[in-house]
Amino acid sequence: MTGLTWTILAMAGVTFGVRLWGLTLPATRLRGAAKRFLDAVPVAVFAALVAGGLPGSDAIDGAWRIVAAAVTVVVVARTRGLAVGLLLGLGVYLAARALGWA
Amino acid sequence: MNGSPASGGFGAGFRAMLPLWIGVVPFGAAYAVTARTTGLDPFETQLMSLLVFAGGAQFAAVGLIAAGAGPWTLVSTTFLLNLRHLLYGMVVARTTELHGARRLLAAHLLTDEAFGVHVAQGRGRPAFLIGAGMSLFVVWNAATLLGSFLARSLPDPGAIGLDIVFPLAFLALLVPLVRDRRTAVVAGVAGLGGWALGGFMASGAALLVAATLAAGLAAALPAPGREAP
Repeated sequence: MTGLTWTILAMAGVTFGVRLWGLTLPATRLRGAAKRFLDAVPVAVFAALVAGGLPGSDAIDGAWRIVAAAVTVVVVARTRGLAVGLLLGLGVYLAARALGWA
Repeated sequence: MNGSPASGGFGAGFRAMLPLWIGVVPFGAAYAVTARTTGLDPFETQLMSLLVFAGGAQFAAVGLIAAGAGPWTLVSTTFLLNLRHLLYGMVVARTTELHGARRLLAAHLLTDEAFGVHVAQGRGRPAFLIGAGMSLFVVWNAATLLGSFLARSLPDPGAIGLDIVFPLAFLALLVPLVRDRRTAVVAGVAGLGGWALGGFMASGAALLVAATLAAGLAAALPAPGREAP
């Protein structure tokens, strides 16, 4: 095996170790601040992922990405259809790009 | 991603991930193209997708290899970028009974996307989590294979606008969870933090810091009424 293959195996080891570590911790009996912390993790993670990926390459592109995000928010809030909201938001953005607006 | 209450486990999880395939395919292929251009051979390119299975860390690793970084830099960066998975595992473990081989498999398949759809729709079913993770694993590796052999002839996903799939997907997962002022504040702090920190930090590290700060704020705030155990 090459040096890079060993490095990839080590990268896999630390990734798997971190993932397994979280799954192994006895979190089910948490109360108080620790429970409130974990309760908030999904909302915090999803919001940070959105904020990290949504900004556009320039002001006009960014504006259309915000329009697409608004479409997704409205559709999901009204219908709870996650896939429909995602696809409509994506459709609005791709259409704007195809028309040369974004 | 419209999992009904009556839907099953593995298949429902697998199908819940299908809308995300639109974004995963070009990114998996783009990872492979970047890796091959950097000098990784098809075996090394695929091995990383099979064993590391973490898109952000894989892109970062390829960039570091191109910059001449050594093994310790690659491994420590991978650890830092994937440390957020510790939080995911802790959240999943509260509602999902995983033991033995299932826990090991779930650990390998636990990604941002699998965590997201499982929290939103999995209702604590281990098979749902594994189905969602396997769906992403299959398409990510197929896209890597495709990209390895079509290197240089594939467009950059960002250049054709498909990079927006992931933020929109996470936004769709976020909306039903923002139920009151408390969750709105957490989302706002995490969002602003992720955006601000992303300017001078690797994306995985920015996400970890922003999400930890926002969840820490939620922990510090008084409990919203009587807490369920």
